[in-house]
Amino acid sequence: MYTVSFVGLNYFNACTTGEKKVMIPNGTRAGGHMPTHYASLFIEADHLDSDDWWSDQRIRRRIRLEVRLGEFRSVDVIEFRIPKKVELTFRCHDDTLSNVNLDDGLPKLQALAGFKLDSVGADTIAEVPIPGGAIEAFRFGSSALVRWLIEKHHDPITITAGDGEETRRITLKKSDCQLPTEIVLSNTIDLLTRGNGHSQERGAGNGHGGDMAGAVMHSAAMQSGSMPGDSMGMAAANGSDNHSSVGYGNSGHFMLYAKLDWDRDESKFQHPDLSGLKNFKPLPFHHPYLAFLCTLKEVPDPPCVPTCC
Amino acid sequence: MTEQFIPEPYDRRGLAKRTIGDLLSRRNQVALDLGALDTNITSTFSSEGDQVSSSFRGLLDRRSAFAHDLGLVDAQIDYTLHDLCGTMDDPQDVETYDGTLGVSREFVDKHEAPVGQLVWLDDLPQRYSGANDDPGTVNGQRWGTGALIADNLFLTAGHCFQPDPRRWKVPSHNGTAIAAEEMAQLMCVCFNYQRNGATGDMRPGAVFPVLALMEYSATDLDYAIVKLGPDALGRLPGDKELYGKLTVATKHFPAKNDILCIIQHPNGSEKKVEAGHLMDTRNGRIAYNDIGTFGGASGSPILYEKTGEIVGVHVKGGSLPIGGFNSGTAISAIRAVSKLIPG
Repeated sequence: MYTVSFVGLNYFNACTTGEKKVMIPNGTRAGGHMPTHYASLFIEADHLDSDDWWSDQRIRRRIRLEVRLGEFRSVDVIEFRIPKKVELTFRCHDDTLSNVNLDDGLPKLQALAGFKLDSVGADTIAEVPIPGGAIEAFRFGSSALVRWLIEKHHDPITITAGDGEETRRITLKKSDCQLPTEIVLSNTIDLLTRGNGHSQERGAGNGHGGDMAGAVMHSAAMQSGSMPGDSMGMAAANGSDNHSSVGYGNSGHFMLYAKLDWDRDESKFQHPDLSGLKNFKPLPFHHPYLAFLCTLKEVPDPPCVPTCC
Repeated sequence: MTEQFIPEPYDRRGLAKRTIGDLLSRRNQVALDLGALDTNITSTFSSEGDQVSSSFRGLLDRRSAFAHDLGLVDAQIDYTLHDLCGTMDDPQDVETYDGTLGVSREFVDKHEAPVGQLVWLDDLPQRYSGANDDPGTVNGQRWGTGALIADNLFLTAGHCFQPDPRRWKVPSHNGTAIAAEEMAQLMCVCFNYQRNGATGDMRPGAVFPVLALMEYSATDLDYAIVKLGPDALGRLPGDKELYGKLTVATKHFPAKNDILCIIQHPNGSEKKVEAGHLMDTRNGRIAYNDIGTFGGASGSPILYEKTGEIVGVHVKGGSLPIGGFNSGTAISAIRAVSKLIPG
């Protein structure tokens, strides 16, 4: 038994009669307001048996988790980045797919005005067939993710990435306990590197997460940016106005789903309905990468959530 | 006529969850101690060489294996428990709070008004429209929480002014993110952004400009104090007829298992309340694992249920369905460096 947790921008095309699959919009070519997104598998190093992944896309990450105040534990996780469009298959011998609750709260792309899925030419970085098992949405921090539970499979757990010309494989060790082996498939900016996603284009390296150091600063006489009583720029704060559509503060990374739209029209994705995310129960997990994501300092998440049809 | 005594609703499920969690933690600890003891015994007898019978050594090995299995079973029970019935207490709207989280309705009514929301201005594209300017992705974004500690001083989290938030892009000049001081001046604080308890409608928020970042640290000592300007009528937000201010603790600090309350704007939403227990405090930090918070709650005041005073500033998530904890900066650590904390 194992699980695949889909974090970030992943479209579950699982309610139609055709092939059920996850379509992962391609965010590898950053541009304009959209930072680079990476579609990556995260696998705990101790669970890995062997692989022949692209060597320059295989990154060992040391994740430092605080288990008690001031007490830390380090866990190594291997990030396998997907460098080009592939079909990503997970070993699964269950031919019945159970959609537990995706319709109960995930944003629905087909419900967006004007959205038409480009089922043939969508700009995806990966497509993942989901022939069986159970897919279930969970709350994850202030966002959500989808867990695919695969109970029937032959050992060892094997993940294959192929584009018709070449095939790469990841093989996991057989688990020695009855907990499901956890795999994470993420399509987000690089959250492990401080000063990352948004500055990646400027050549930031592959460091590890960590809190920026800084000394206490006292300022007795800094200049005001606003005159007393000046309401300029404060309209949104009192709830009297929606955010400006120019700054992308409202829809954020959600607009990357335009890569799946026939017209590639980002304006259709500016106002995602995220009100249903609170319907989901929290995800139980042990994966260190997920634990890391939960410990980031708490400014709001941009809507970087999975969707369904 | 004697008024009928109606006990406050009691959170049985929350208590049960905490009890089960405590029991599992204790059981895990016993299993770990058992394993350590076995290792110790084994190494002791190993040093005796051939004097220890192989059968006895075999028994010790089997016992070690059982201890290991015990830990795995515990983990599985924990996982299954949360998979089947795991729910986290959700923060409740301040005006319709049902009094079940650990503090009373009266407590929340008395302390919620000075808590406000830190919000980015919504004209950043106009302010950063030059050839080498970039307004970033935060325009109009509801960003954090904080509380008034003086008529015009607002205590919040330092990392709300870090120029490289992981998931967002702040405005920049010539490819360089603006500094914390400039960030602060591009924000305002909104009070009263909450749901009306009688009608369910949103109350109109009242907005005050951020004039200056007065103190700032974004390390483990994570806090900031900003200075707010008056509203259009020349009033400061901490005026008694407006929102008042909270008291910063000077001598009464919570102990383990004491109840804490966090009034917050989780995920940028309207004002909510959550409460739970202090798990640990060490090195200027406070940990709690049964107080639900979300992104956007950073900077929220951590209030001590016994006094209503601020004993910390919430800064970090990490309380997971299985283990982990949220944490804040202890007010004693802030007080040690701050020149502005009153009292």
